[in-house]
Amino acid sequence: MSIELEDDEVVSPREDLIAAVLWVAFGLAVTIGSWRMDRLEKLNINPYEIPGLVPFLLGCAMSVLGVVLFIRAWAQGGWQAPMASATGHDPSLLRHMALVFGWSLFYALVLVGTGLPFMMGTFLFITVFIGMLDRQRQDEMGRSAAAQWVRAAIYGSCWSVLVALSFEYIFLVRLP
Amino acid sequence: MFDGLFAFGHSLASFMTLESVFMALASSLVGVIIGALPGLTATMGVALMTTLTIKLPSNQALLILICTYVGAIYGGSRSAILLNIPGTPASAASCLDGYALARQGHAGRAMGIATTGSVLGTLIGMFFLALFTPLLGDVALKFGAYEFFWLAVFGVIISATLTGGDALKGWICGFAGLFVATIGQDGIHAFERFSFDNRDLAGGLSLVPALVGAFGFAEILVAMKERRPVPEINPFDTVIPKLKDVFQYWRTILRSGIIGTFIGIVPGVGEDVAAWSSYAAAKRASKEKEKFGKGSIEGLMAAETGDNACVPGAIIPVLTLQIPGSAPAAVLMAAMLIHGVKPGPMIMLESPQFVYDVVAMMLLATIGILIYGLVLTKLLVKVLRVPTTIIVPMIFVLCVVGTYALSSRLFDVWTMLFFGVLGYVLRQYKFPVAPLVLGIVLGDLMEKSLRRGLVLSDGDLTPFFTRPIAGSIFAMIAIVLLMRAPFMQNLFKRKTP
Repeated sequence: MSIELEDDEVVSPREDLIAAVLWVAFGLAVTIGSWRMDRLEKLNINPYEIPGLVPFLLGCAMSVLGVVLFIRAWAQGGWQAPMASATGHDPSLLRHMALVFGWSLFYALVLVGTGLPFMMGTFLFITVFIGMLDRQRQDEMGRSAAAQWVRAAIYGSCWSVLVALSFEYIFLVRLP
Repeated sequence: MFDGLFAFGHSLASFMTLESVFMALASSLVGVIIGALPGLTATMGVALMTTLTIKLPSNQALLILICTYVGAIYGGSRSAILLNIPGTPASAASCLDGYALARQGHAGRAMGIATTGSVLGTLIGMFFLALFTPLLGDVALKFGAYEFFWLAVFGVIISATLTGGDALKGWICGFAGLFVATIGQDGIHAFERFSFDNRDLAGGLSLVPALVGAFGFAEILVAMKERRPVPEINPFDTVIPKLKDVFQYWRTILRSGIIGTFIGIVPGVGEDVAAWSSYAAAKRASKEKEKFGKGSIEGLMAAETGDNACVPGAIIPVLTLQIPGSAPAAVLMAAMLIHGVKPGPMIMLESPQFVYDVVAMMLLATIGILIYGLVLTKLLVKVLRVPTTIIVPMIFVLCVVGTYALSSRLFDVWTMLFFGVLGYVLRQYKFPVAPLVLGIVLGDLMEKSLRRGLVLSDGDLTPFFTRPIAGSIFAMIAIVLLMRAPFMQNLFKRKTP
């Protein structure tokens, strides 16, 4: 069930300390929000059915566990420990991830559902994604930039047509 | 006994149409491909297929999902053997001996063993699914609000504890998941909670977009971060399994099948734990312990039998208690609810035939993986050579359009993106995502059970602890939590010589 088992990167106690503070803050926000929630007294409901009861208990549980995480990270020297991300991240990897992340979000938030035909948006997304992120591998294979973009466009057009047609005519779904 | 067999025969006959057989084989193939590709998991496959099959009749849609699930768990062994990279976490244990066999020039034999183990494991799990579901269904009828409350909490706690990594972080994620399930109108008075006057949020966060985000988009981001080179795969020998291997290791197969099934029944644990537990048990019982990790046929057989037997096992609590045994089973359960099938304690009274339908679907999936294991190995090797940079954008398009397809609203796409980003960030800081997702799945059951229980007892907490089943589940939770407490761990360490 866990895909976490295979990952062997280390998290610094400092990062755990920061995460603990965020969890405690979140837990407290949930607790306060639940406490201030309408208890529907005017509807004369059973007090054990008030809508804020369960979120209140969950907020408390998250806060308590956050405090335990904080204490553990503190005991491991989290206050002085360096951030793991500050010591080991490759700048090219960060650029690569920013590109993947940014372009994926741009597709889902802008290219889809804001008026551009689905097929066109999907074609643009796949072509640019492959054209930019598969470049290193294509360069190693000795392909020219034009050939790389033509190849990316072929993937983009095939997949956008296949997805659009299969969703509309096989799965009978209205496209964004 | 014979009633069950007749019901199974009836179910199997109902799927013996050209359309159903085609769907079963096609979706098993999709599952095998998804499972074989490192970075794409069974959960993601089942979640994506749920969005694609939303408009199909329920039996056809569930047939596709179960075949995808079984296929994906089996498919993970391909990359484990050929690349030493588990295609799914469930195949991590298969890397140890599978890859060692491949390095000795026996990759084909290793794949044959994986096929045999997976097929036999699924068959053993299927047998227990057919046998135990009616029995557990009878027990489940004794469950009331108190028992269901503790069972939901147990699922979250045990999932965080047994899925590796940091249990404390897992518990935090589990409780966060339970909280996410409370967003929107509450189930009793329809009061809007944490919706901030947003109409979409008032309806609550849908489960499937959250799952597609946490296991789809987040996995895409993880896969892109790893930047794996296109692998070189050496030629391999025949993949036809040898009967000798089955007869020689029949005890291992049976033991692993039983372990896998029972681990599947435990809420929220799943296939990877089943594979490792079966592997460890096989190693303890083996006369050839020294071969484990160096190309042991017995080790590979145990891991593959265990993880595939877990699939039917994980469906048993879905059908009887409405509590998933693994992450893909959680998606499957969501799909059942979407398609109007109501799993839970009443299933053996309201629709007993459905249980045998699921067993028949499993059998079709098993036939599918047997066929692909024997004849499609070369195609699968070609699939493994497709670079991540080409697969990832295509999968992401399916994540987006699939979540939109659920109810034709962009809010579901935003939910998917939110949980994708959240899942990625959590993974970077070693917070396990599986308990979060299980919390979302079980949140509604937990809340309704707690509130109902309190109303029934007029605020008295004692029935939560004094009723036999509720008290037993609470005791198990307490033991799990205590075992993780630092003073208990120190105690055990001191006693170990």
